[in-house]
Amino acid sequence: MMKKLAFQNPILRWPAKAILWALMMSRLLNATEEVEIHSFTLPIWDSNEIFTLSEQAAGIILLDFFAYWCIPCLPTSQDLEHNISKFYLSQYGNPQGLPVQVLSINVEAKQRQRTADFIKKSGASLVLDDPSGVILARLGGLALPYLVVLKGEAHETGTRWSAIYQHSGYEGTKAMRTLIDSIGKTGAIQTQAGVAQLEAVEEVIPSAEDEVELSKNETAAKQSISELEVPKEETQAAPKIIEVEPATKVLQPREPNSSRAFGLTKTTTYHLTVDSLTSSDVEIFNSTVQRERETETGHWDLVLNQGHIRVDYEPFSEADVIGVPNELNENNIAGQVSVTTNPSAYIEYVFSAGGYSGFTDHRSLWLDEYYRQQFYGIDGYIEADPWGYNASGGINWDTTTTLGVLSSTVILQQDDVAPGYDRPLFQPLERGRERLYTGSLLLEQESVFTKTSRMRNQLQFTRTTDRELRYRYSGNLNQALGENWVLRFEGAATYEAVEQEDESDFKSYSVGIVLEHDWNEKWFLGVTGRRYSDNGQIETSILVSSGPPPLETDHLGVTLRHQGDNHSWMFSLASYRTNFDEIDSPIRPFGNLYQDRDWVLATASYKYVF
Amino acid sequence: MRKKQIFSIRQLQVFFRLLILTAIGAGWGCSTVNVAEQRLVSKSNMVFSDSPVFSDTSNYHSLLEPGTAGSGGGQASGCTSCK
Repeated sequence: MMKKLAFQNPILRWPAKAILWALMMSRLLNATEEVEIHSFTLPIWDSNEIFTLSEQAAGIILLDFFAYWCIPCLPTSQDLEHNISKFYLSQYGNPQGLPVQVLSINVEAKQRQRTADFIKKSGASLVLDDPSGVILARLGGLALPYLVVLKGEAHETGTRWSAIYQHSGYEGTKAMRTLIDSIGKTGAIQTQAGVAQLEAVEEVIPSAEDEVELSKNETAAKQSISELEVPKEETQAAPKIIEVEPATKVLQPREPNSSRAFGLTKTTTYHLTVDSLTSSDVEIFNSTVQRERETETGHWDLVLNQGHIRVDYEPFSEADVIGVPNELNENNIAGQVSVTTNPSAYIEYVFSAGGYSGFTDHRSLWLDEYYRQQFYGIDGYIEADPWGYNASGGINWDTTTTLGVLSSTVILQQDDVAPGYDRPLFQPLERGRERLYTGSLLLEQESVFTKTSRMRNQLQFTRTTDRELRYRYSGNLNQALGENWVLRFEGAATYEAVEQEDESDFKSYSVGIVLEHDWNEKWFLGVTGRRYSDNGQIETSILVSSGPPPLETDHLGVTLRHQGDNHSWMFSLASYRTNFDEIDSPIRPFGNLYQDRDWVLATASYKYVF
Repeated sequence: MRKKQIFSIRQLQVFFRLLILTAIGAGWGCSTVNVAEQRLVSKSNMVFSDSPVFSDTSNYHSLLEPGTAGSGGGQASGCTSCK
């Protein structure tokens, strides 16, 4: 009934189709393929030896597919080694006595030294090499880390293997142990995300006759899993209890070294940023501290900002005969807190709230000083005290781990601004609206476009008190140009209709490009160019318009970045120019505010993860 | 006085069509890139980041450029007397 109504309604028809399409895509892309793989043979990393699955003794094998560049893979492999492999070794197998072995499998062919560094950091005791990703593909792997649990049972013809769990992303120690502990007993318990796989995939791996030949080295020695993996001294050691920290699933990170990337353990990240924008008569300075805390069920994010604005106020003498020069100094503070929770493997809820106090830009400060000098002491004038707050809620949906993210966010905001004033002849002072409400919907999509490009699209719909709906689109395309060069494109357009027929709609466009070179993914040097233009801000204040005329800006800068394991920093320096069109007569008093300026923009940022 | 609609039918239709385009964009590429071929797109300067260390955008753009202001509030657009 609801479906019928949705498809018949002219407004709901399109979104209903979109949701249906998205659900179908999601099911299709996340479906687990029933792969017919009878066994496999892979070379052992950094060795001439060969590993053959069908020749291994019965038990449980956990395959951990990884690549050095996969951010969540390292903590996953570390956790599996310490809290699965060594734990079950100390317990002499799972509760049913089945031995448990973790096999890490590399799927990256290039950058062998970086893979070797990864293996060293992960502590993985047995690593296989699948550089072409053939086994990964046959087991249905769409994203990394990809985990497969195999159960082996002894038969007359050899060990028969069943794949009982296949999953992109790591669900954590607890979920994995629950699964492993359930193997071998009736009425097995499954992990949250593994239920579907357990029902669907009970594929039997019957014999060694159909082995996938991946290595030509057939004379290499073959060893059983226990012989390969278990050091003698450890097998003889007394059982011990290993402290296990509860873990959360890993979603594909959107940034390197992010706390989200290290969701397996409780991590904290600090960002410190200072930036300044200076011209001959305006200086703006901001410092920001951000703290991110990863918890078992999501993460917390706290941002505190303190800013200072200095303006050498100079009245436009041709149109302002009573104005006097003044040096303006204003401080502002802001805070924002965000909470992210993960109710399921592919869904994230984000809630955020924050506020600010003080003038946050030089233009509002300049205008406030103009009105203060014109109307201070007159009935109806009130000294401005700008402040505001916001609240937002959103949902992120990982359409497939590492490949696509779809998010939507609703933002509500209230601003108490410094209002405009006017005093028509022989009339009392009129004050503009000082409280504005804004509602906004932001839709965002990210995906891997090709093997060398990644894209992001954002759509925002904004409604502010007494204004028309504003549409804004911005798109980004990151293109790898070989091993060490990256080109990043950015484009945006904004449109807002005007109610009055004699005024033109507001339109703005911007394009930007960054060309960056890296040295071993540790040092990055980039050049940035960006251009923005609009046709003048919509402004319908009381009588005297304070809205700016058409504006063009040019940004040209260089950025140096360093990325370490725990410490990262960035420094950028840019020239920024704002060019306004000829000022129309109604805004002549603001001639000095809307003059062309050459700015210097400097930013330094530091990030620490521990 | 004309009663003002919050959203017109036309606006909603445009909105939902843009939403669908976004959804198509989201699906695009999801099944085309093999995992073993994602090395280059996983580089730290290829992913989209909110961290200031890895971000290209400056907050000052939204303060000085009316069309870049994201939130749409009076303060965000920088023009206190503008509607």
